[in-house]
Amino acid sequence: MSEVRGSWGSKLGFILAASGSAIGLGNIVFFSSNAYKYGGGAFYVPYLVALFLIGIPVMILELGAGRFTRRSMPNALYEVAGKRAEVAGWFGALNASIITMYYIAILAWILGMWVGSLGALWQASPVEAFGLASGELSNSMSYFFNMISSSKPLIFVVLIWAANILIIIRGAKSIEAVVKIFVPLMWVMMIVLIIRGITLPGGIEGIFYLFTPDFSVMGDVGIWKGAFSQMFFTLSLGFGIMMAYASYLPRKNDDVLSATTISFLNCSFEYIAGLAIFSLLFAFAIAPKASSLSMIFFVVPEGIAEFPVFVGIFGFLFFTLLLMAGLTSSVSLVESVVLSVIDKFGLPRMKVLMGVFLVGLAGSVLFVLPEVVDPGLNDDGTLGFTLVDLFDHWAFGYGLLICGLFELIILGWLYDINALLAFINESSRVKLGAKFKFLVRFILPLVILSILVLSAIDEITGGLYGSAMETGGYTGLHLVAFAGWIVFSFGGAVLFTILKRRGEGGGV
Amino acid sequence: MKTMILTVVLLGLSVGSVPAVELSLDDDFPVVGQDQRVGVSGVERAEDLGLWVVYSPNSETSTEEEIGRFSSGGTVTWNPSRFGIATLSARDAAGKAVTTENVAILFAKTPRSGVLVMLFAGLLLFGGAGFSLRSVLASGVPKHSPPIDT
Repeated sequence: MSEVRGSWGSKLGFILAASGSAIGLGNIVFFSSNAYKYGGGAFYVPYLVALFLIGIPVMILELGAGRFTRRSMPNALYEVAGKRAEVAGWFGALNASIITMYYIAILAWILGMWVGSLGALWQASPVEAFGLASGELSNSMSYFFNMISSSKPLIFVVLIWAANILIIIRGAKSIEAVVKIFVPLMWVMMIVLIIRGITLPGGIEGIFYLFTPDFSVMGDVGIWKGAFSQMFFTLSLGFGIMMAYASYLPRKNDDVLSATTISFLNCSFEYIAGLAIFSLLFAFAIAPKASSLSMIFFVVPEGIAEFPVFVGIFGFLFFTLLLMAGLTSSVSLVESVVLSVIDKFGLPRMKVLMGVFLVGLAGSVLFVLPEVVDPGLNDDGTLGFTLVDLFDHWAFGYGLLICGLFELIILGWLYDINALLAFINESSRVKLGAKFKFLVRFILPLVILSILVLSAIDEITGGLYGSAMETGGYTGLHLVAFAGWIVFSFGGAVLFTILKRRGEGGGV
Repeated sequence: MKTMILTVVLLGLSVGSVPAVELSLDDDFPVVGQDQRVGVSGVERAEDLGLWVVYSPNSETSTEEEIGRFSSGGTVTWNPSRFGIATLSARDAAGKAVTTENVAILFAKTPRSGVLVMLFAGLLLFGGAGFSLRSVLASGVPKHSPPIDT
């Protein structure tokens, strides 16, 4: 590598930046969505299991591999196990690109809510675009659905992409500076919301809903898939983000300590966010319309609207912080893709940034298409939201687990795991031994593989996800989404792998 | 012409003054296993309507139950069978919802397992975060850092 790679200003800076990447919409939007989707307590116990079984071990491996190779994920995997491993790395990077596209679409909607928090969000508004009676939806729901069925998010998506590119051009130092301010503020905001939630009648019961295990449904493989995918997503695993971040670390770093710190900080924040959101969910008896991914847009504003004073200010602050938390994570997502391309092809940084910007923007625009396809809001309402729901099912639900499985097989079997563990152990106080190796080589791949196979069987026997959705005149949209995910992530991975590497004489 | 305008205005006023159909409960937060009186107002013949409940233990599954028909006085008794958020709806003979209301149904008593998981998870996560952060900070911070250049 001819380029000089920067490094983190301090260990705390790295921890905050990495947890800033980890603390994002995953903790607030996706955690609450999945916890609600899978039944609160029925989800939380598998989620805790996933933290220790999958989250911390895979993060240790990703940090170690990133620090060892000083490369982004596809190139790190190429370095440790050749072309066959590189294709898995590109699959991870491209699957992450799809997630980035709809992640930025969700951020565009958050920007829309942020604009609304200046006034319109707190006033009653009729539901114009959908065939629902006035008063059938709460203020926040009607504002949200009116907003996503307008053309405003198309502008917001451009603004969010531009903000991402600007932050990346300024470099990692700007991320570090931003998260040092915004991550602690987000904690304070959530604690204020918890106090509001539990002081409302019924609020405490929402917390019981989140934590009370329902053993009667915990045998459902879908819940475990949801919990494991959530863990990958929330800890930014399987994206290449952690490998990219770790490649900036000094040669000597305690990866075990870094991984546990980031994981515990991240999941502690999720715990806090869960308390806040579920107490409000119950206090206001909100049954979210459309995919549960939208619930954050209704639940928190309902809670804030009940504040005795400063409703507008709290609302504005909440959406500002959510926007910032989302931006720090989306910057990491975009950066990991940019870095992967630069590492392989040695192209100028600005060229790669512009390429990623244009392709990413085109994808994100698809996810905010405002055409109403489901006027009764029985499913997702607009075409863009329906696409978010469908692609999320594949890229988030399956893609991250597949990428994790590939990583474990490559690092555990194709590469000399002993060499990687010895490298990690060199600078870690807690030494990883035979048990960890057994976990990485046998237990984790088997667990992930079982979840994937059982879920795929459910999918085949029960009908492909989305086949029963209301999609207006767009029949077969679920098939288009499935095929789109396959072609973009698997097909793209093969293409990127066979393209010539910088300094490589011939193709493959 | 004047009569026609007056008729339209009066019709408009009468339509505007029709009270909205609403459901009401004895308690804002019904409890699992405890009888709850549900009332309907704003209809001429309450006995033509039935009350239905949809329990949603999670967003993937929901179960629907018919509770019964409203009495002429506009009430019906409901005994909630599941904890969580449920949707009540008053439906006419054709099954069309006239009005709906979301309710949060509470546990009959504080769930011990929920409290245990909450405390265990809290101690584990915050204890782990505190312990590992302390270790990171104790291990020192480099005095001179190379410039950041991504």
